[in-house]
Amino acid sequence: MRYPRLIYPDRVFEPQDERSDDTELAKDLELKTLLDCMADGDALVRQVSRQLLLEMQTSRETIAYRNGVLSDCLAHPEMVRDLYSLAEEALGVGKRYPMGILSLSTAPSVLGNAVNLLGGLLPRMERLKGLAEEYGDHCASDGLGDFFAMILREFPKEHLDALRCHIDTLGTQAGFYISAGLGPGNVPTGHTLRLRMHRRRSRLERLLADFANRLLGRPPDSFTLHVHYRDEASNVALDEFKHRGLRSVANVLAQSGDALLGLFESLRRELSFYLGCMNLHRALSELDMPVAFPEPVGMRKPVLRARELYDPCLAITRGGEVVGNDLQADGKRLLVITGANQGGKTTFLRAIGLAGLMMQAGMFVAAKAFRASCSRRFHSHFRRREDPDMEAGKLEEELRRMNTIVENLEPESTVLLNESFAATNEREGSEIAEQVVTGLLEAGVRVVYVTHLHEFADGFYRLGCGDFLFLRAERRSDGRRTFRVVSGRPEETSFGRDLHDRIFSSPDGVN
Amino acid sequence: MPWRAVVKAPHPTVEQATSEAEVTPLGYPSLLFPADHAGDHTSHADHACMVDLNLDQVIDGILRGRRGWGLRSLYLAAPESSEVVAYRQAVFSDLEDHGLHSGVRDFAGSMDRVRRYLHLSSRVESGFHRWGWLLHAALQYCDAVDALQGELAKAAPDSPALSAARKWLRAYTSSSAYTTLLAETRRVASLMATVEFVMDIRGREVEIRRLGDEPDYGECVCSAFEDLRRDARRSFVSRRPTEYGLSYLEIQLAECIEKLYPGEIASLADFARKHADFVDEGVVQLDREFQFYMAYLDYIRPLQEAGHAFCYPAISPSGSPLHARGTFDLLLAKKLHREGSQVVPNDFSVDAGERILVITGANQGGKTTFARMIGQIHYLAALGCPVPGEEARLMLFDKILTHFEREERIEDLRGKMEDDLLRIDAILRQTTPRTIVIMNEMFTSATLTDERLLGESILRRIDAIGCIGVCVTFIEELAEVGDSVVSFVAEVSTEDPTIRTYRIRKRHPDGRAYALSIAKKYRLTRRQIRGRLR
Repeated sequence: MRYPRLIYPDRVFEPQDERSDDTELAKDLELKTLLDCMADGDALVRQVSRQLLLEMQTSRETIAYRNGVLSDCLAHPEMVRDLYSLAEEALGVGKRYPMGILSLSTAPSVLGNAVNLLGGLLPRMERLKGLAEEYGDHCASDGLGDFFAMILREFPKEHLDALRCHIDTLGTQAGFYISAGLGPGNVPTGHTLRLRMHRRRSRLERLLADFANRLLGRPPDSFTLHVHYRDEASNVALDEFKHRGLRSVANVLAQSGDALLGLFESLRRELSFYLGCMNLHRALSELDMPVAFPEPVGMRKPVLRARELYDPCLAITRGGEVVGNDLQADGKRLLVITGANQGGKTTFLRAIGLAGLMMQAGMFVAAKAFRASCSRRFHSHFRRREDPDMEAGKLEEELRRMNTIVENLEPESTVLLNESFAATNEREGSEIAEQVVTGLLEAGVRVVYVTHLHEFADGFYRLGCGDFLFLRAERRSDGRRTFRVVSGRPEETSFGRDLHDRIFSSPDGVN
Repeated sequence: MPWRAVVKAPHPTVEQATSEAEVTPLGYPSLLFPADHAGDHTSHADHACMVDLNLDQVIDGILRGRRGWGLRSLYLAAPESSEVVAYRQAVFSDLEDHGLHSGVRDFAGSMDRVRRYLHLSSRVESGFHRWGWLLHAALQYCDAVDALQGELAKAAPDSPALSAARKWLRAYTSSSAYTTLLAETRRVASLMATVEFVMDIRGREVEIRRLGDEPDYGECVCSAFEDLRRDARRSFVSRRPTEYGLSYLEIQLAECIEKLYPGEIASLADFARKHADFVDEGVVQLDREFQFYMAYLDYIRPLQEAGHAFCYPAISPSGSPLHARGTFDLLLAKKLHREGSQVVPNDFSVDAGERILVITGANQGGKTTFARMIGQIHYLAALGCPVPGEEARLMLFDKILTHFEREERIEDLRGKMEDDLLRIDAILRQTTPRTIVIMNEMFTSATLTDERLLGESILRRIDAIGCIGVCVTFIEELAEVGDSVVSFVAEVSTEDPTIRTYRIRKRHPDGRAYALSIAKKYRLTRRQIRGRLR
């Protein structure tokens, strides 16, 4: 039996503990909003989706594999919900007959529990088989197709019937028939459960046989012992005897039950991610926001091209009405985004980050079209507006975080910088930024940098390097923002004045 | 202030007496002493001194899980002859060979089981089980002896000790006593293997019969479910070891089996009568003496695997230069290894004309550890053991004297100091040129002047005696007492003087290490200031 592999083509999904070094990224990209929407109240969906979004899958084969499964799921949502609820039901049976509890772990009690558990799980296996028969032909993806084929192949009717027959026999037996030999110190050993071949002789028959043996001078062929109910030591010995005789059967049945439970548990886990994707898909569709399966390319060359790329979290919180951006940054290793405050720069940065995460998780992305190279990892360095640790000094705190990022950095990663190193004056900040960004680029890391550091941005612009791209948050001549990001030379002012003027000239802003 | 000493035992200890008795009359080869050194004097270690050097804890660690052999006395007796050291080093080096090491370990495990089975056999009352345990012990014993003989023949060890053991073992296994035992044991064991019975349990009634042709239903169910549980690792059924043979049911069961299989049980009883006492004394001694080596090797193996070096020290006559490269405190290394870190190795050397090591430097910088380490490696070297370090040349001693400050209540400073001085004096009178004296922070409670005065005077006396002295102190002037004094300094990191490197270097104390490092951090040393102003 093979557990379903809906997430990796070559292995089952193993949930991990949350990785603390990724929480910065999760926080900066506001992953919580996305996960809330995906989970829709299901903690497992949330946990698995989070792990996969932060996993940064770089194998395009795996990404395509997940895209395939997701397409099947989007085409047959009722199938996913049936499978998911069947798995939950089976796990409910497992809860009713728990195993591995110390006080219950003598062989006779484990055997009893395992027989009950399998009695509950085998019918659910038959239902799973029914679903496999129903949907097997409709699923185009390898992940679901292989899983259904495995179920049909490994659990033919005769096999399931045979298993149920053994479970019935063991469930209705009376007494135990156990053999043993002599081990070290002539202590009985090798206890084995045997199938009784003959009817048990009555007391009278035994007496007669005994008498006959004695008459013919033959050694007796049988002895009958009675354990007194108050002879505690003998009762313990008898229990031990049964325990040993039943141990391997009990263990095998318990392991079988556990394996079937594991199958349902694994199925639920693997499906939970797709359930999350389905929830998000429905939410964005209801908002009339476009989604598309992205086109991932290899990591070697920087590729980044999008149509109507938007931040799905913002779309969810705003209820639609977000502006998508087109972007053409193929071959660019550095993106510098400057321009008006509140002009959508951070949103744009998040949209790039989330699209990358979702693409590499094997999901659709929040855009009409998206084509990008994979990144080994995403790192984010956002300026912390509220720093609880005042003592450390803001710049030092930023540098310390940057240091942590660099410590964990691998080439072909992407670093998202949002107003980094702005905690000091522009000259110093620009100097540090130049050092850091140059270092990162030389190490083969891609950088997207939202910044007000004009000296830095314009300095780089003046280098005229072909693999740098400079973008600006657009502002119309009347000062109004379009929330579009367009390419262009960094401008000196950051339009903070507009914001200032707007707030201070609005009726409730005047005091 | 206590002086503790490893003093020469005036008479051979009990262990030596036994090993002497074992060597010659019965012709058993000893793994610990060459034949002509069987009665050699050994230094008998004083407990308090072992405590100061942490050797008590090291030995506790070495002997953990090895209670039965009476090994402690072997570790508390350090031989004084370089022939004995060489004899043992050769055995250690043979046993570091992987094949032989695991062979000997298996042998020890088997002999342990033999003892346990014999113990069980002597404890149970019913003949049925007593004979059973004896037979099982004999089986294990023959396996152990055969396997060890095979291992020794295969490894063909070079050491005189092991080749003598190998020769003796070959003679023993071809003796008629052994070959008869082997044949009988196997015959009876195979007979007993045919005994199989069935218990038909219903409620509290149990019927017992010979086993017929009833099929194995457990196997049948297991194979039906095999596919399902194939990858399972977890076991759901607990093992409940209950003591066997204590209940009335089990006694009755034994009686039933005796009646169901009378011929087999009679053969077993006959075997037990003939071979009640089958274990050879020579094999027992071999087992014990192997344990001396195995215990130490097992103790240091995890450290070796973690990259710590151990070496066989060369032994030099007293008064000639000594050194060790990359050595460390064994107990500290063990402790740090458990915590997942590594001890910092250090070098020490005593060149021609040098005798007294004065160790100064940073607080908590590893000074005491360094001093202790010197005592430890000399002690371990004398036992014949491989010592921590990449390479070493060490001396054999007649005693190690230690003086370590303890938390002691000082009511009358003057009286106490006088008392201590009297005792120091008394013990310095016993010191010979072959002694190692280790002093840790003496007279710290005295005034600086007194401490300096007393320290200098004691170092002068040690110098005059010509023994090796190790002195840990704050007082850097002690490093200047005479030509035979050599200075070691515990260093701190040059970037940050609050970081200890635990490195001890042979150099002059500079008295300004701390201030210098602080200055360097802020680029304010003289040279730096000059460089910056240029």
